[in-house]
Amino acid sequence: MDFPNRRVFPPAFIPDHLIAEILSFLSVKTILRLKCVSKSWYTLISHPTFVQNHLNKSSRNPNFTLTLDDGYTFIPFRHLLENPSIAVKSDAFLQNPSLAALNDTSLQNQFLDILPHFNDFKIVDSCNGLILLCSKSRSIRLGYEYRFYIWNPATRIIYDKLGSLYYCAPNFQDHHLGFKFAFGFDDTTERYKVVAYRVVEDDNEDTTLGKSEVKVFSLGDSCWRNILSFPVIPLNWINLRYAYHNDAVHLSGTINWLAVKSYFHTFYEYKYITHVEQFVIVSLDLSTETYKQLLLPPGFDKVPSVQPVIRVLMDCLCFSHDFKNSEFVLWQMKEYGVQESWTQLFKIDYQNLQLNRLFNFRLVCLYINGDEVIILNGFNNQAVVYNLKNEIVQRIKLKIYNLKNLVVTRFDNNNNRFTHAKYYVESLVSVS
Amino acid sequence: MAAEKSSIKIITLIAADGSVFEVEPNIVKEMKTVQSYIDELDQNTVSIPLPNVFGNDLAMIIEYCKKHASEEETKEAKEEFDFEFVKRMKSDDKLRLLQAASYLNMESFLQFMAKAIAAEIENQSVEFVRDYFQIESDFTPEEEAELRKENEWAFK
Repeated sequence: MDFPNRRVFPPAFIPDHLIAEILSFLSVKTILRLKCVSKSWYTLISHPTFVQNHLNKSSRNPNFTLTLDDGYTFIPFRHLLENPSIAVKSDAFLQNPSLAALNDTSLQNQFLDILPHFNDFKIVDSCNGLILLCSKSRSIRLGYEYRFYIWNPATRIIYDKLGSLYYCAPNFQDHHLGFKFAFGFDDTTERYKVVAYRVVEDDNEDTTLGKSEVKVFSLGDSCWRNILSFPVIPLNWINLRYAYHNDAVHLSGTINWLAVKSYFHTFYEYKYITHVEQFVIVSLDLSTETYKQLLLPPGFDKVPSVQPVIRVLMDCLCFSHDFKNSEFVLWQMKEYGVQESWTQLFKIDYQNLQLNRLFNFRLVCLYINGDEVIILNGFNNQAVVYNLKNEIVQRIKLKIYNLKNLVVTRFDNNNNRFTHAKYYVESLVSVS
Repeated sequence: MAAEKSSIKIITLIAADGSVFEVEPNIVKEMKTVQSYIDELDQNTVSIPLPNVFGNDLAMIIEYCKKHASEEETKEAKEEFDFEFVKRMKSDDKLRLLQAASYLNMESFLQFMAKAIAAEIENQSVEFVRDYFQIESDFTPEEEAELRKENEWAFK
């Protein structure tokens, strides 16, 4: 028997909570367009609950930021899993509607200020779909000037009310002593905060120790505030070649750095670290602006030959390191701040990754999705998709074409842009 | 677990049009509306009327639940099934199934249907979406023009 139910029970009225569920799966561009469907849709889309719900869904599909010659593009990690040989048009930046179209007339006013210097702005980090951009310029009178923008590439909104930060460098040699930055969200007060920090040598002691200066800018405030100094010095401060592998990472209202105890001087080298106990994670709570030190996994018991790395993967703090020049080990802190919750997620024999033996291994795990992981060798910037179960390796080949279809950048050879890739998720989040 | 307290072996679901479906308890695990009803019973069989769900729709939901409750099926087979399941549906079917999922309080099926509907309206025009959901605009033409101007780039 067949029941003619189509007209008996038509979907005439879909309640708002179901509309919200549907819309939360859409791209930001489509959502902004659908704001003018009706008044109730407009209200629903503008509501903070919807913005949060959309962000939660979008966070399951993270992108990595890729610096092009004329701007940035964002590529979903998932695309790399589906097809490790992908091609990007360099003008994707201008054409792809989810990216900032700087040639769009309606946007020119917004970008006028930043447009001529766009290449000077580097991505510090991204949080909830917002990207913190920073530029450093030489200012005759004041040493260095740092300028900032917070940019939501999906909604194309730029927030510029972040004060400049100045750094006086008496000698040109001291320029590397300038500030480093981190970006995070304080979920207690629901404010975004930018952290600036630098370390200088403190010669007053018998042994030279680092003395840090840490400043915070809360969005909505008008100035930078000094906060407590670091109890230990972040590893990325030390002028090491691969220090950027250990940039600050933000997670649930905290900013975290891999740090080293008994720091000596600016030209400290990795080989001076002799005990595994010297490594610690320093965590800044963005609401109280105080520090905590987190211990590393108990199973991590030998100083590896190359720097270990912390990252946020699958919403958890992860710690990875080399083991005896033969394996790559990754730990996950299942419950943030709980040392007992460190769990070894995997261990990969370098041979399985089929990486070129001529190079050293400075591995960083960029992404984990089920059995598939994306691993970068920071030494030669080769990245692979590796399947933990069937041990299949696929080399990532990312080509960037220009308008004439000529390859301008190949990411399967030495190019450090991949190394500087940051996580980014599309969102409707705004700051005001 | 709550489900194991119950001694029910067979559940009879009665759709709005009177059609009857006999299913095992593991099939209705995801239907929280049904589950909360049977948790309180101490008997072997039970009949549950579902006046807001039509037979055709209930048949599809049960088919979906059977596939997903099966332990023999691989993850890939389930994904393949999901793909085909959505492919053979019309827009109206999807909207009805979404409402049924809401009524039966089936969280993951609801998300699955919402995502399938989202895929249909992604990158579509405002007019298409109004027609899809049978929505009349309550903006004045001036208000709408103003809104469109605000995010002009999103309409290209």
